Amino acid sequence: MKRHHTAAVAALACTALVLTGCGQGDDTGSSGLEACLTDPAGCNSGSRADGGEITWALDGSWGTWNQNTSEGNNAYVSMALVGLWPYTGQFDPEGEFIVNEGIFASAPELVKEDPVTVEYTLKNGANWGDGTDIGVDDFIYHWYATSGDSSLCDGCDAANITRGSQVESITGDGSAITVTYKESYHSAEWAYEEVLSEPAHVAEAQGFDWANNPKDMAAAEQYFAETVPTWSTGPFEIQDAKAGEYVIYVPNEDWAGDTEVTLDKVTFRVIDGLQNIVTALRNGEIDGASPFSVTAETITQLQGAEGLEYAVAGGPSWEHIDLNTKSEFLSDPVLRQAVFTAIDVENVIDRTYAYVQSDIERKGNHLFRNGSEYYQDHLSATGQGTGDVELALSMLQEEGYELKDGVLRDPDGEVVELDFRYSESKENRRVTGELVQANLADIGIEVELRSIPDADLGTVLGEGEFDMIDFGWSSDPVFVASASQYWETGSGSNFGGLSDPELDALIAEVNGTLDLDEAAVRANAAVQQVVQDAYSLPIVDTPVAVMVSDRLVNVRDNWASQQRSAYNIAEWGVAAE
Amino acid sequence: MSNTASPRLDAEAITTKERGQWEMVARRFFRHRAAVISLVIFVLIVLFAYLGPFVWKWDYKIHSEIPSWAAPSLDHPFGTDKAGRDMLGAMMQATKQSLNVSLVVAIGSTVIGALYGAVAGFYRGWVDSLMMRFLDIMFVIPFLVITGAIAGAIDSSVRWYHMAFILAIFGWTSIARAVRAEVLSLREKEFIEAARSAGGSDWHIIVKHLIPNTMSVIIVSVTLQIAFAILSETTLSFLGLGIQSPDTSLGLLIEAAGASAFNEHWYLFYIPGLMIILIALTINFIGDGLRDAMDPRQTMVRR
Amino acid sequence: MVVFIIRRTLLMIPVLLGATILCFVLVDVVNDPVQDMVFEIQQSTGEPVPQSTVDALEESLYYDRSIPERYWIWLTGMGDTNGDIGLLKGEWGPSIEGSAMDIGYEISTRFWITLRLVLFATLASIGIAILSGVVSAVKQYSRTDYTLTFLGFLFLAMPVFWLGSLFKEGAVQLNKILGSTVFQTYGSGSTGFQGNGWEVFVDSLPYLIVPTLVLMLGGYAAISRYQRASMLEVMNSDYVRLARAKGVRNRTVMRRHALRTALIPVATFAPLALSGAMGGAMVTESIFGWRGLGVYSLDAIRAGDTFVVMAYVLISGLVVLIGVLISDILYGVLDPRIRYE
Repeated sequence: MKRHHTAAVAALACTALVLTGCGQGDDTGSSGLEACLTDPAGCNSGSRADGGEITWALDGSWGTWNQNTSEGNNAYVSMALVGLWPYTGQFDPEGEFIVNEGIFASAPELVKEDPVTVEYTLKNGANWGDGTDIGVDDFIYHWYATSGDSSLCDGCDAANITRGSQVESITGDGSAITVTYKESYHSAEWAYEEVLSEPAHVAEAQGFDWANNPKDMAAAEQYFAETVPTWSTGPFEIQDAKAGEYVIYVPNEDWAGDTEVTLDKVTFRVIDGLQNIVTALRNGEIDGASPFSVTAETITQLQGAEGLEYAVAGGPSWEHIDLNTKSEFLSDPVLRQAVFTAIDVENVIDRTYAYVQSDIERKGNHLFRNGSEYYQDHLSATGQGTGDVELALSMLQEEGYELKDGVLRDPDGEVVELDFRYSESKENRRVTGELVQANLADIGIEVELRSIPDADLGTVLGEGEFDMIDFGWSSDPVFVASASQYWETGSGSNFGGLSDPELDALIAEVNGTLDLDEAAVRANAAVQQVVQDAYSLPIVDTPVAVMVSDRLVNVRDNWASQQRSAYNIAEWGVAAE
Repeated sequence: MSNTASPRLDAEAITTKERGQWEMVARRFFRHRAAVISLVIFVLIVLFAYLGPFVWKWDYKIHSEIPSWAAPSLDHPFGTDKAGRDMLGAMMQATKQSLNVSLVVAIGSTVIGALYGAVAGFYRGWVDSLMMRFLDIMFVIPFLVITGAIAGAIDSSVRWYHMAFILAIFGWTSIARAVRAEVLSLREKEFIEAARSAGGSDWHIIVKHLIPNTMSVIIVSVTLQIAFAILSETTLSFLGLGIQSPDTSLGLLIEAAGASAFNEHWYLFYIPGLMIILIALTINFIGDGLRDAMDPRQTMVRR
Repeated sequence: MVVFIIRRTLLMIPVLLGATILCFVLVDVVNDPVQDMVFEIQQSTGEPVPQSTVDALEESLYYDRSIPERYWIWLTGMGDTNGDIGLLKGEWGPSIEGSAMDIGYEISTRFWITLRLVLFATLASIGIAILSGVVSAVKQYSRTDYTLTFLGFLFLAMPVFWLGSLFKEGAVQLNKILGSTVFQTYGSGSTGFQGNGWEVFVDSLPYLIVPTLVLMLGGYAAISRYQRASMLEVMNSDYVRLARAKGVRNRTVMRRHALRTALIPVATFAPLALSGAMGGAMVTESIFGWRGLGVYSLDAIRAGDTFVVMAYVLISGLVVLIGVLISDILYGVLDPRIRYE
């Protein structure tokens, strides 16, 4: 996994700085965030002083405390609850999966392949922070909540039932829990499945007979959505919290994990807007943040700030341009190929994302990050994204398209016109649109730029109201379900309406193996096919920044975790003198 | 009155009256130094916005030849932004769009508001009640919320005419209120009684007597209205609920500048901000000058 | 007078109903938050969203009904509901943010935050406005008048968001020079701060100064223009001249005759100033990160959270109507020419 930082940008911009001192943050030694380039999982580490308080900013809010539900499917609530939530584990910045040390004694084991049966071994003393140990009921509770089965939970509004609907049974006593899946379950990512969420005994104490009454189960889920967790399976427990505003953590004395917690207090506080976060950070009101966007203006300010460190790298989502196969002109695959060929992706990157991340690379694979062990480049060979106008034109002319007086006509003599849509607040996507407009003008296509109100992106996608559209998908290390979600015929997220039986067959195979390496090979075959279809053109992993006060240690960004920098919150600390 | 004498007298009376009124207004206005200076500056801004693009070599779009983040220089007097946009060209376009919006809104909303307020104040009774209830409805709807919600929901790029229309439709209530309040006390005055007893129609009284006599209120309102329109438009654009790219506006430019007020990209923040201030400032001084000049009840010299 | 107040209070009901209907239609007809929520879930889970979840979302937000039906249950809570909607029953409806967000609770806590900001700023700006307006008028065409007029015009011309951004940056720079955090730039008080009223107020002071200043400067100029214009008008009126001619002392004329009449326009303008400050507060709150009503509605507009927008419309409408009523009563008290039957 390749990591990036912005030393080059920093050096360049320093010469231009007028009002503020420069160089701060560059001379704090190699142990800081700069080291993330070579040592993504170990940078900025150091010995911690005993005690200390940290205030961490979140750039968005949440309105529920239950991550199982569709409302709770929110990166910010997952960050806000990182101190106590019973995760199976976390991917570290190198893509390695680390099992939750506070709950499990070892990694889950595949004890049987047909049907898939997985055994979990609980750590001795793993508990809910209120004197009750974690047990098999808690596993069953999570299964019911995410089953999507109204005979188990009537009215659970689960965000994701892909795993929950595939569970056949859960048994166990004491520390050994066995999960048996249905015959149809074949995910190569069985080891990463989430198996716990809320404490079953708390639901019972509230009078919900969740195990026997599906209505009660739904009511229990609703209760957890509305109630600030008093329980904790993590290194911290909540002292005070308000949904969408703040969470104040103090150490959880009952935590079963081995890592020593040094901080006395961690506050997560919502600060809307990147600009406000940077200002508050410079003003010393907060100690750090890993917001989901970053701009060149922000970088400039961070460079000028004293006592701060930052690093920029590809984040948890990736940018791409999709074409609508249902649109009047783009239903022709040759035109789609020509359009992608005429777009100069390197130039787009140079004028957008490269400003915040100087060593950013063009993304070459829809499912695997550049540099990942499974990464294969199927794009370069096709010429897509090269901006090769000659090639694009020759493709088109072969099919009977005609370029005359700078206007492209299709074989029926109609003038080819397309629109390009993007979310109005995303500056980089707008600039991308303007550059695509210029590129396609070279092959005689007039492009109309049409922005989308931020809250309407889903609607525009869902209704297919676009010819070309620039948006982002999540890019966590989990890939098995992605191909079918993005490209399978009839999938709710296949917004451009691609329908390719050959691709569908390849996608079905990805889900047919329990071996991760094999699944990756099959996923790459699907990627190759979708490139042939000229349906989706990846641009970059969207750069994000982590910015922290230089008094903190063990704080670093992690694209692979939804909790970003907070993935190792137990290790956070204030640097020893 | 004899036939021989009257034509000459009449002619003299008419010319004196006409020349006198406009001359007085012009003389009073040109005596107001701030107003005159403002008028000159405002005309220059208008020329800058509407003719500038024909003279200046760069437009407001991104060009690959333009370096990013160049400080102000002879090539780019207002500097360039990150993406490679000449800020002088961008300022011309943005100023033009903001001026378009504010002028259309000021005229549109003042006409609606003045007529509405005068009619309501003149008739009183149930007409007034009904009109005032609707005015109340319009008035209690939070302006930025409703305009922002509508502009934000236009599912394509928002252009200046969208904003002008939305702001004018919702922006006339304060004028109507002010004019009505004035008319309420004016209609009890003797000259209205006189006009009515002379048989003047309602419309005649409203348009010829009431509205001209509320001119000082209306003119203060128009000037406030232009300032209000340009500030509303730029505010909404700043909040991301106004004019959208690929179009541009002064509010968008400031939003894009972010918190660069004290760093090396200061010009991105101050130049569009100063332009808004300059437009609103000059317009207000012009309005002030006009008010002083046109108010017939105000004597010229006072201690 | 009592009859007048009762009648006006009753008249507020149709006005508020009209305003909410108009807003509901305008806001609701253009929004479909469910589809966007579903997309966001897909985007982050990387997996398809089950239809049952989509249906549950629509049902819980009442998007499985038509707009008139939705307005009706929002207002009355009558019919088949989840018991979380119906204004007459004291429920504000569900927010798309999630079930831990109770709109009623949010409104009630945020109201005081916004009021603190708006009230301080409006009172301060009216005070300054009357002062500078009167001084300007009394010393018309003097250097003082020109200076005050110019300053007034300058702040009138200054966009609140620009002034806010400038002051905020300035406060950060000032903090840096002083080497402390005298000014807080984000939020309305320390995170999770608990205490009695006075302690909360003291805690909020570093957060209060800059935004109040911004809102005050943005608001005072317009009122000061009205004050100057009306003061001049009154001073040129016959009865003031008569008073002067009678030989009444200039100071007495000003205070007893001119100022009293000249305050009428400001009295009528005060509710406008208040609603203007509410609008201005939206910008100020979003720049300074106050979790007040303005920001709440702004976020709701962006997200298409209809019931939150409606709650804001209702609350701010009520505030404005009460302000107007007060100003009309003042108008009658101050101006003998106006009579309320």
